[in-house]
Amino acid sequence: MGIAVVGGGVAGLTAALDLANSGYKVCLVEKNAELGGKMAELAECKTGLSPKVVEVQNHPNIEVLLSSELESLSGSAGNFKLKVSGGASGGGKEVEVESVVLAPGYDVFDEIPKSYGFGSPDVVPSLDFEGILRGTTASGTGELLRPSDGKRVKRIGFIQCVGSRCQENEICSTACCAYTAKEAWVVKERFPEVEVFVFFMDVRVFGKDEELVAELKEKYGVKYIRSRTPEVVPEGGVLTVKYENLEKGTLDTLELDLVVLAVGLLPSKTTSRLAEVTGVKTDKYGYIETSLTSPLETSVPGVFACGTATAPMKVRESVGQASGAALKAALLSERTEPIPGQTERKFVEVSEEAEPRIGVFICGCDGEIAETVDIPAVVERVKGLRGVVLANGETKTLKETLEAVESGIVDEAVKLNRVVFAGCSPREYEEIVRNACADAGLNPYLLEFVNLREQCAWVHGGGDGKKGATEAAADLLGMAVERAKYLEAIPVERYPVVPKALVVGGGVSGLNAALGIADAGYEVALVEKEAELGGNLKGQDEVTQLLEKVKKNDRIKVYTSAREEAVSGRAGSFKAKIVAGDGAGAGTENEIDFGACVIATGAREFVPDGYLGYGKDKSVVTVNEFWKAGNFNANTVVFVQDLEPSGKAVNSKSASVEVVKSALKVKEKSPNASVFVLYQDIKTYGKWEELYKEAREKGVLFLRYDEKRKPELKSGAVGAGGVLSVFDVIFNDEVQIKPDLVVLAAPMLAAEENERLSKMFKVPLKNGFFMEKQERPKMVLTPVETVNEGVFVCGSAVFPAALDECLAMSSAAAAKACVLLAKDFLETPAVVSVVDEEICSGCGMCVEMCPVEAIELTEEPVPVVTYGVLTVVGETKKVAKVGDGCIGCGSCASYCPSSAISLQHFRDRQVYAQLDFAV
Amino acid sequence: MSKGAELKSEDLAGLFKGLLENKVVDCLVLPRRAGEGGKNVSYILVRDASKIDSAGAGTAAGVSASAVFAPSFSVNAANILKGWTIGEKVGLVAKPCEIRAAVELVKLKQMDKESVLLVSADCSGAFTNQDYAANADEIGDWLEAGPGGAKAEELKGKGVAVREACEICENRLADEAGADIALVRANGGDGDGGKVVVAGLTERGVEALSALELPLEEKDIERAGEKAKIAEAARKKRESLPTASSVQELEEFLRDCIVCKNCRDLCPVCYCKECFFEQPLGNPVGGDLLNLAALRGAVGVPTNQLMYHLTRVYHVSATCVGCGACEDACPKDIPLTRFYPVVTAKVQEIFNYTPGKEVEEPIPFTAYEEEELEEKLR
Repeated sequence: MGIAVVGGGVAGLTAALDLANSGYKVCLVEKNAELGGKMAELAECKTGLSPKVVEVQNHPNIEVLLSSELESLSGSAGNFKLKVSGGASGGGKEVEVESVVLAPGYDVFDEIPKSYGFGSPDVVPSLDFEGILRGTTASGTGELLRPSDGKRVKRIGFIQCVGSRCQENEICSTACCAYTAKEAWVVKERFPEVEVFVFFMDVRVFGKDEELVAELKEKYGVKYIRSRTPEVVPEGGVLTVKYENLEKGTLDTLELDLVVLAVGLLPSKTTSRLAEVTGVKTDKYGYIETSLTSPLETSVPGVFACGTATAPMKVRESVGQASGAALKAALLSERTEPIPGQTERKFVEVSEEAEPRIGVFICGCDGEIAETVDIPAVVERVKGLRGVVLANGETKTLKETLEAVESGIVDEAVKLNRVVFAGCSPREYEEIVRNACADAGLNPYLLEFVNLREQCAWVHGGGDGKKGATEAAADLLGMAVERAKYLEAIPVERYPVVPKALVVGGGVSGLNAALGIADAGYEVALVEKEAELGGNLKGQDEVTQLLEKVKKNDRIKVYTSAREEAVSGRAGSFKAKIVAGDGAGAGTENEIDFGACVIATGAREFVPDGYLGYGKDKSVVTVNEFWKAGNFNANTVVFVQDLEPSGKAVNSKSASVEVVKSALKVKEKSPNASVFVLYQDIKTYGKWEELYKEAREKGVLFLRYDEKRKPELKSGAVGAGGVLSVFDVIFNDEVQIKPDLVVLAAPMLAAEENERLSKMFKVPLKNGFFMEKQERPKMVLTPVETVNEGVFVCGSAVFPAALDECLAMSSAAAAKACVLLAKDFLETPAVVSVVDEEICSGCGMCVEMCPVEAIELTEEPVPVVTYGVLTVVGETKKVAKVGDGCIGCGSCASYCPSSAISLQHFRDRQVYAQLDFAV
Repeated sequence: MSKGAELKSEDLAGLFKGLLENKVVDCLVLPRRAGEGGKNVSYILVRDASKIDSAGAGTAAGVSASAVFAPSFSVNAANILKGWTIGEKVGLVAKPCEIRAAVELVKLKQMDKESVLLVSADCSGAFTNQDYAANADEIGDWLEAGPGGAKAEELKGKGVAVREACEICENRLADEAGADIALVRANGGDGDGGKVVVAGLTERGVEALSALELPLEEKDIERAGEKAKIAEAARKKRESLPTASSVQELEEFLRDCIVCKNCRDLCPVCYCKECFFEQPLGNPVGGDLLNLAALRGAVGVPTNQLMYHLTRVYHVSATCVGCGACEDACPKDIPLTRFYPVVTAKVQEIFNYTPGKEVEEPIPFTAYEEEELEEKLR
């Protein structure tokens, strides 16, 4: 049997790959004729999504059903029968699976009102603008041009919340503020002279996106204008935007060349049909219903949902949910398939002296390279180079090219011992080509990869660019051929994966991750620094339930009052010491081995001591304390959010949600109470928007205070006649309130131990929080992963988030850990630094420069030497040694003046050969 | 203020003897006068204190204040101690630029910090040792008013010029090097009757002087005004030197180079056990050379003339102390001072780093943070 994944967008692809790569059989059902979904329409998808598509298409464990739809679902968890219609034959298909993952995605809001000037060619929805952005690359026009008359755009405006937070679609689409910021950033990066305006109500961005918006305002000069729904009037070649300026309270106009509408997200039209077929419940907005405490489970056991089918969200969160859902679905199924890349590989011996026999292959990249590069001409040039025995530019697709490579290696008449592959980005494809070489028996490091797409075709562009592009392509290939001559067959060694995980932090994320991994069948060491598990939310029902499950699970070994020390090793085979602090077994040390690690340290409230009397006055509390005290009766309550986070504190993603929830609680207890919320931006993202609406309807007063004038206590103390003064920007006047209770939304600080863990696990921090592998403004396709393979981060250790997100992301981290642990063997990394001890001067500069502390300077005493009557004692010989942690960045090699330390696969000789051809 | 004592200049040799006799150091590298009439100034390594006497302490030829302060430069003495990673403790008495090189070598672990006691002496700017020896009588024991002064100009008129490296040196007073002990020339420290202030700059330095039972008291050796004046004049001189504004001009400048690598061998901060330019890639011979010619059609020989100097200047960009030993070493008289110290000074300026001034200050490459780049570019 296996698992069915419905939807071939980014979420569906992720779920399918996580499952297939852990040995499960997957059936992927996509209604369109192609994989990729909405994300394939984004400007930057080419370098991120397409490798996933290629991997899915070529995966032995995945059956892809295109142009297919789910017709019916019968049976129950562990034993489902699916009927799928359509398909290549059109005849449909029956599939038996144990569980189902639904990832049907979203549709964009398409009833854009005329008032936005929609209909004018220069007013475009955001997805269409992605297409325009793609056209601005060198292979297109290289310019940002107006669709109507092809003139250069000088002033561009983005209008947010089009088709969201409105009557037709009440909830907030969550993603638009962030993707608008990204688009604005791309425009400013490429065309700094273009003036950019963003019309918004609240900027609902979090974490890294918050930093991006701040940077846009300060560094890039993007003007963010707080305004009510603007009207766009296209007339005489200009777009006039009329809007109510909420900063000044004036009616203003602005003339623009291009307007981009950040349209909202709606559940995909197929969602309702899928719900009908599968029986899963949907909410009143049409999204598949999930809950705060089980964000991935639907109402039907065995059927899981992820991504924008459950609520509007960004790519990062969608991908995270997809991994999490995959893990949940896997627990109902059995691993039946072999995992690719697990068989031991044997290579033909290629000695350094062997005459190079180089094969050059140019992959057509589906025409993208051929558009600008004259491939036959390049092939002619390359054929004449010394060492080249074969040059092939006739293959059109990756698959064809790989077959040609393999036969070139195997064919006794050709017998290539070096391969030069030219195509698109090596970032994602090099591994695929390396594997093809290895499968054919050639050491994978005898491959040289040339990026002819990004680094040639796209740069030179079409038209007149063709000649230049062809020249450059021939040069790039010539350089690659020279380098290939000096490539070394780096020995590939396998080491066994330790099927155990370490989870750091016993809060809700850590508990959930530990359970996920243990349920998948692996042993887990759960390490908590406090004396008891539970974390910040200890006492809440969800946590109590998780604790119960952890207690009962005998695969989980819990260490409390404990911390990790001396972490070493690499993905699949780490070692650490767990030192128990106080309490039972104090001071005991446990050596543990593990293959993967999940860091879930959480965050803590930053107590703004002294602010409005906090700390002295019992009537001033934080939101957490407000709920803990459980006293919701008060006549006048003031909530204050967006306190200026001092130092490294950040505002939690759910800060506004918690504030509005609390305000409603007061109103529920005493409907006549006066409740004020003082804020900068109300960030009730997604479906939480309904709480905001309800709060306004119930009479909660929202006052936006001046950025530079924080609310302050004028006289006395809160609850004792003290008066709170607020400068409201909309009234442009001071408002005085006499509250009985003030509740502060405290910013969050990263866990203190992160500093220590960061060094130990080699995962960098930002503001004390762990950084994921990909960071904004890049699109995040690998949430929970870090630069240190095998170490995953989740929950508030990355950014303080709400319960549902913590649960989904910790499941995702567990899923990624399981994908790793499912393997029996891993191969030692080849691109690492090595030291020639004969040459090493022992200066230790490499030790200082290594960003991951993988190098140490060893000192060996030189035996006592006697020179005639003189005995010289204590001389030492210092030599650098590279340890397991090396990530192959090359910092050490670039410094070392005598090249005593060098990076394998990027040896001086190889780089020099490449340069010698170029100069 | 530093802890120190004022000595008569003829007692300086006694001070060095004391360091050996009291086992503060096991051996001592120090300048002495030699040759006919003691006109030649060079270094000796002394283990036996009595040899300082026999070397004519305090006399015209031998270990004396006039040797220590003599405006003569032979080798950079730090070069002598390169690789001194043995337990034996050595003291080095030398000019500030030499001491600064030694400090860089300590940072580069080519010299054991615990095994060296660094003593720096005021410098007035120097002539090459052969120029000095030939004109010792006229130059005297100290170049009054330094480079650019009346004396120096008068000598220049006669064809005897101060080394250009010394003309552009901004740190030639004893306490401007990261030494343990400074020898400050007070009231004309050379001949009989002169005075020298010996001051401990580090804890180790003070301890060493205490071991000799010198009457230590607070001494002000700061001389801020004089340092500023020297730095200003040196900077002006440096900025007045001709520059190369293109690769072609640089190639022209290096045209006569025979890639003998003497400048590297005499450079105190070039520390590699095996230089890149001795390896096949840096020094292609035979088949490698032929390969290169096949690739380029033709290749200049000896190869890597430009590459050698560019690589070397990059390698010493943070640590070059500007002593000018490279220029002295060049058999083809290429004015390398106009290249190495001038180019590296620009790098050091970016990082606000004076090599060898402070032993605890890390070499910029190792302490550099990514964010700094934008800061610097701004």
